[in-house]
Amino acid sequence: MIIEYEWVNREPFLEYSSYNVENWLFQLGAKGWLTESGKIASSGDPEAIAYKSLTMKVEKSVRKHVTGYSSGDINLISEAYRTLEKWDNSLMREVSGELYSSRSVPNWNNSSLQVSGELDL
Amino acid sequence: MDLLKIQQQLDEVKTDLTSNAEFATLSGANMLPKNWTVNPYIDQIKTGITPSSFYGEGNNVRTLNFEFKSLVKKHNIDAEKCQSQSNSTIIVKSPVLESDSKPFSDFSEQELLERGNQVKSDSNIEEYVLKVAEHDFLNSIRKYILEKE
Repeated sequence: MIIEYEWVNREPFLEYSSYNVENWLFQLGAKGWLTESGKIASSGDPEAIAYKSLTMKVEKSVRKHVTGYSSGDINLISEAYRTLEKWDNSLMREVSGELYSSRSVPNWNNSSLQVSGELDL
Repeated sequence: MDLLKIQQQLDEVKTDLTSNAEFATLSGANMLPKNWTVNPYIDQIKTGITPSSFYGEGNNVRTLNFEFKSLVKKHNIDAEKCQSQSNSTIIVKSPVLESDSKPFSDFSEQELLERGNQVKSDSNIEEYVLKVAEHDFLNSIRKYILEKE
């Protein structure tokens, strides 16, 4: 199994009447493929995908101007959530569950209750 | 009830948490998740009082048992009351001087209230239950962080 993680969103939301950040939205995605050849064949389109997201509300007393957060800060904070909330393991379980789930039989005929034609797995 | 011991246990948990890089990052940025914000306060302490021993064969009280049942909440940062809580029950035996001794029914409510407050203060009940609660709250966060999946 091949799995790739990427941040989909790390975005601040401001208070209604100021430039202070009220919420941060963090969203991490995971794309999965069963095999490397499958990944190449699909031109990178994932065979399974899962997301984790979190909206972190900043307490009013410690809110600050959006320019008060450096990109380095935001990266550190989001990576800290990712680690502490154990998102990678959780996403891996979800993606592998999807990739290795039971699958339907191509050409299954529900009237004859047999495969119509050749069995192509 | 050992204040020194609970303080040591509390310090140990705090050291473990602050030496965790991710926890330190979020704490330093004031971005800890709400349920990880630990700033305990006493919601209520109920005091139960019963006589536990008597002088001689009579019914003059020798010792009073004060039972303090506390309810401590994790923080007070929401408009809504915090649902995370820590409960403790502490029993303190308080001797009654023979010269002050009398049947339990002769103690006035006011007298028992004053004795209860004195025992609570002398035994540092509030400080102790706050430390126990802080330890319990922080320890559950530590367990979560260290837990292997």
